[in-house]
Amino acid sequence: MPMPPPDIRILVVDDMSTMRRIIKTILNQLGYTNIEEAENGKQALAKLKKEKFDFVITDWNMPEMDGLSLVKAIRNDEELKSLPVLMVTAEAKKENVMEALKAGVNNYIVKPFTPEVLKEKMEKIFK
Amino acid sequence: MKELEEIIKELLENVKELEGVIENIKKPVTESSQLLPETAKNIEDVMVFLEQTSHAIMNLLEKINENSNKIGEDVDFLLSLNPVPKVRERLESIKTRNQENINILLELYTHMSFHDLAGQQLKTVLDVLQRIKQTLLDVIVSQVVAGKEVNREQMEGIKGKVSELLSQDRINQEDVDKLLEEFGL
Repeated sequence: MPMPPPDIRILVVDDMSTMRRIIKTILNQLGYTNIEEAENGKQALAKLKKEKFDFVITDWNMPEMDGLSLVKAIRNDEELKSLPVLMVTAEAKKENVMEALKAGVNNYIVKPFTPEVLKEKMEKIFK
Repeated sequence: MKELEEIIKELLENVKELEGVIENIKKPVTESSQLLPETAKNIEDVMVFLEQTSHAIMNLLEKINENSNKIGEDVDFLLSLNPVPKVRERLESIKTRNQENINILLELYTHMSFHDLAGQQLKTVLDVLQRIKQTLLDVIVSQVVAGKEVNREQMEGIKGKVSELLSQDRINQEDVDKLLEEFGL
């Protein structure tokens, strides 16, 4: 399955600096270097409204605005509604996955995850 | 008349007993309300330490990864010089093992997400502590206010002050007594 082009602009949203760094490093290994970071949904939404991004990877549990609210805000925004969103979270219950899918995430990864899993999910999203 | 005296005596004994019970509860509750902020502070310190150490480990892993990539480039260069078969064989072996090491490094790197998972659990513990702290303070205040006449305004004022105290790092009986004093209780 083809991967998205390496020049796509990716926004990584997580309140944990180590997690942002891990995701960024894995993306780098997969050939993606155009990456921006945000610490929570509120900060991410402000960036998304100001700049153009091709893909969002977000955590669920964050202060100020969580990942689920961010996804809902993206899907309710005329300009952003078609933006692909991948949720990377420790929330592993079936109802969590259902809730996220209902809110409009394109795919879902449970932490901890391997680079292969991230690659596979990105391929699925951009196929 | 004698019967009434007996009833009053019994009532007084019951009240005295109840006072003793309250006095016994008061001490551990107050001690606990002091311990909770300390525990919360310890957990916050652990979270900071975890984050700092995780970044330090990731810095080292990145450095090793950088070195491994450089080794890979050098091996590729040597292979491009068409070495004799025996040397080529060794270089190919170095290249394979080096790539294995790079893969292991990336795997190690992803395991660093334990920090995020542990951090989320610790945050849950902090939330629970916060709730316990609030309940304990409510218990202390209700104990001291019990039996005293408190009007609606005073109760509202106390609630406001309680919230103020809860936002502070340390809460102890002294804080509660001070607050009650402010309301003439």
